[in-house]
Amino acid sequence: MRPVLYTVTSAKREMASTMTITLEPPRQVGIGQTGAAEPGAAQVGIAQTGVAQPGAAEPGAAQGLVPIAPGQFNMLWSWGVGEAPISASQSGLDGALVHTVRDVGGVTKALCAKQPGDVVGVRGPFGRGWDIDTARGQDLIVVGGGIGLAPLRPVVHTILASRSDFGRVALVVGARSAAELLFRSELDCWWRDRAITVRTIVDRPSRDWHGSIGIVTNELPRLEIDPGRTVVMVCGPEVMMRFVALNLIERGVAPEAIQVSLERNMQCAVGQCGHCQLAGYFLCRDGPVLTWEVARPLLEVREL
Amino acid sequence: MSNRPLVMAAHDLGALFGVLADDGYEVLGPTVHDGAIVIEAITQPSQLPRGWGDAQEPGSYRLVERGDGAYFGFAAPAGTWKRHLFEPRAVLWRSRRDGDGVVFEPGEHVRRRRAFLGIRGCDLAAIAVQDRVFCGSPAKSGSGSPRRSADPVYGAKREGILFIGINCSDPASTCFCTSMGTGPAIGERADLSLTELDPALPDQHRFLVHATTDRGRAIAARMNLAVATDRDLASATAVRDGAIASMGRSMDTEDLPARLREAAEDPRWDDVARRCLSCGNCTMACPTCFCADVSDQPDVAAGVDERVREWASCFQLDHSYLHGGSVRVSTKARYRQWMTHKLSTWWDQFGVSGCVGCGRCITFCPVGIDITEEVRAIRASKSVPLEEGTAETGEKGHSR
Amino acid sequence: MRPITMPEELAHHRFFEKFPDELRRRLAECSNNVIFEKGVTVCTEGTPARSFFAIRTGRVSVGVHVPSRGLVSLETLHRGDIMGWSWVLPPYRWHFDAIALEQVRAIELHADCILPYLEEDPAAGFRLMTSVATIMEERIDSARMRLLDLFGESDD
Repeated sequence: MRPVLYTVTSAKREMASTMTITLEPPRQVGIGQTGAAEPGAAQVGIAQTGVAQPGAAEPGAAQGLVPIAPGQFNMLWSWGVGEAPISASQSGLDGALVHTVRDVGGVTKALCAKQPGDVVGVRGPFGRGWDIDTARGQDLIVVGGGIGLAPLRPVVHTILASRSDFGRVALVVGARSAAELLFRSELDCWWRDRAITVRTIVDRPSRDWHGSIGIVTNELPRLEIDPGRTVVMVCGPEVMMRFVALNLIERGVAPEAIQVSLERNMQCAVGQCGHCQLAGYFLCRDGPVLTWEVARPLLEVREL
Repeated sequence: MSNRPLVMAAHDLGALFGVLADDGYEVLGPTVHDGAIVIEAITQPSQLPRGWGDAQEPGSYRLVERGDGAYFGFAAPAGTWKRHLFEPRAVLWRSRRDGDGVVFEPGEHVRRRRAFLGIRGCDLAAIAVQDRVFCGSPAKSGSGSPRRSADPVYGAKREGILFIGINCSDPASTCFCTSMGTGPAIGERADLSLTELDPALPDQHRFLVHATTDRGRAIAARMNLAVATDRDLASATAVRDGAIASMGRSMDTEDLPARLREAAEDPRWDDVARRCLSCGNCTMACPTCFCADVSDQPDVAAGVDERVREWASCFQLDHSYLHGGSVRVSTKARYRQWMTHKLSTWWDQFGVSGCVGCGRCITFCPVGIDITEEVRAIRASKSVPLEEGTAETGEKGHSR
Repeated sequence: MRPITMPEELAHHRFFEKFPDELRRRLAECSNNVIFEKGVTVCTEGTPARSFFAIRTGRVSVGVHVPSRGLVSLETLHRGDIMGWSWVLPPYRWHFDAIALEQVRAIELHADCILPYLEEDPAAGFRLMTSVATIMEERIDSARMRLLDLFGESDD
């Protein structure tokens, strides 16, 4: 499967090592340039669940890819460097893609260096994202740590777009420092709007930080929860997700109501290269979001 | 056209090659290379490993002279058919800088009509297993996963292959296809299936030929083969029974996926880790292992970037690399990943076992680790599975 | 509407909510409500620690006074949190500074009143001390997690 060539229309620096890039799909091209589909290539399709299936990304394809859902990811390609799996930090856009990338290696460094007008190849969307529908009519706790807030941002957007579909909603955001709080101005807006409860907490306060100091699990006991009707979505370092899940389970939240987004080495993104296996799951296809009920026994085994 | 088995004199193998050549098939089959039987393109019967058998033991592979004229008197070849379908290195596609844009070109997908001659039951099963990985076959069971994507590169290699199978007559000490239900008989899994009869008697040396598809029947029809006699059929049955009787190893597969799932913390993994070199030979020799690195290999000066897929192994440290480090660092974890994938989680993913019982991993392990023995040891282990029920009661006793 | 009693106030605080009624009643006898306006010092390192606080509303910053930097904040405590365990352990002096980040309403529990009771009723003492130990554990867990620097750059 080849990437579709998107064009960078904006590149916003979030912090020292993190960029948010907006990508526009290729402009519609004439008939005859749709590119010869590779034999046996999967068709673009929408499954019954409404989750977009991996599509055949063909050069010259008239349109962009099928819309990406919150929690799903695309493989972003920098020519001559390689691909990295990056989740959408915004969804529901008409064709455009928004990805927030943290520079942690060769490919992500190249992606962070993209400027408007540059080309980024995209394959996707891949995987199973957040199951937002199970949270409708329920209370929702969204916990994001560090760059882990990026795949949760579309969840918040979805909630705010249909706020009355959800009960109490709390967003708990952890970061190393105030300067490393992702989407800080947007967090401030959400905090001021009070449509949802927003709690930010940092490991290392700067002198001008007047917010909470500590880790996200410190914030959880401070939330009033009704465990029987609470859905949780967590993304961040695996250790953080483990402690968040255990903390909330102790307060009576059901393991199947807790969704975590897991990270493993991903290369092909279609369940064929084997790198992202976690027991019987290909996280590129069956994940990255799993319920804690499913994830816990797997994460409990060291080095599984 | 009758489906009655036919019989072909051994010296008519050349005619079979002729028919295949006339039809434009490139024939791949076993041949001796550097003291081992490998799978290569061949054009005539003299390239087959005639008179060669093999002695396979844990950590040992030797060709031995059989003292007869058998063309297929050996067990699983050292080489695999896998490398001709899922190649060790494949360019998936290529891209070229073109001004501000990028132009794509296909990788090397040379389409040829190919015949796989002399493939055994275990290896036919292995191809069926890889078909599930690369051709988008739905898993029979599992997690209700979305439909798999098909891989066009594998598909191009895989398409239209004519299978001329051989019912295995000479299993090695390392073989256990009967346990895995993949052999020695190939049944109707090939277009033509051959059974080699009486290779020690030059004037009796012949093949029972069973054509099971239209393509197979059409080829057989052009060879003017006689109908097999009851004696031929009896001899073929004796070959099969002899193969079953001489199967060197066995594996108890009863409830094995669940048993291994519960054995994640079994002390046996520590034991095998003391022997395992994590060299990855088993994964390279295995006809079903499909792990690969997918990476860009650019020639920036030439303005060309190739997307390359290369065999990889779950025994490599960087196989599970995430920024900052690898998930599976210990040899124990890497061996456990390989074996439990093969025998347990493969079922979750593809609805089938990832092991076909060819025994190559045993033969080509430099320290002779025997997967059947490891299974036996884990089955015998008294290790208690992770306590059930903790998921309901919440965390208990985690260290403070 | 009758005013809320101190045992009821304790019952509403997550630290005390599962305590036996009798223990809460006795602790209530050692308690009073207190308000710290924004910026007011709650305790000062090295001074006698004669009480602890159950925060009802508002936030407290706990930190260390560093010359030239002022109060370097280490953690914040909120509604439902307990502040202070120096009253339990010799030499009964505060180890850190704490100030109110905003108006803080808290219940102050006095050591001179509580400690004799705990000594005469070891079961009650054990109950309170295990709860204090749980708080200490939460804080140590939190500190350890922060030492991991999970969100930081990897050093490799």
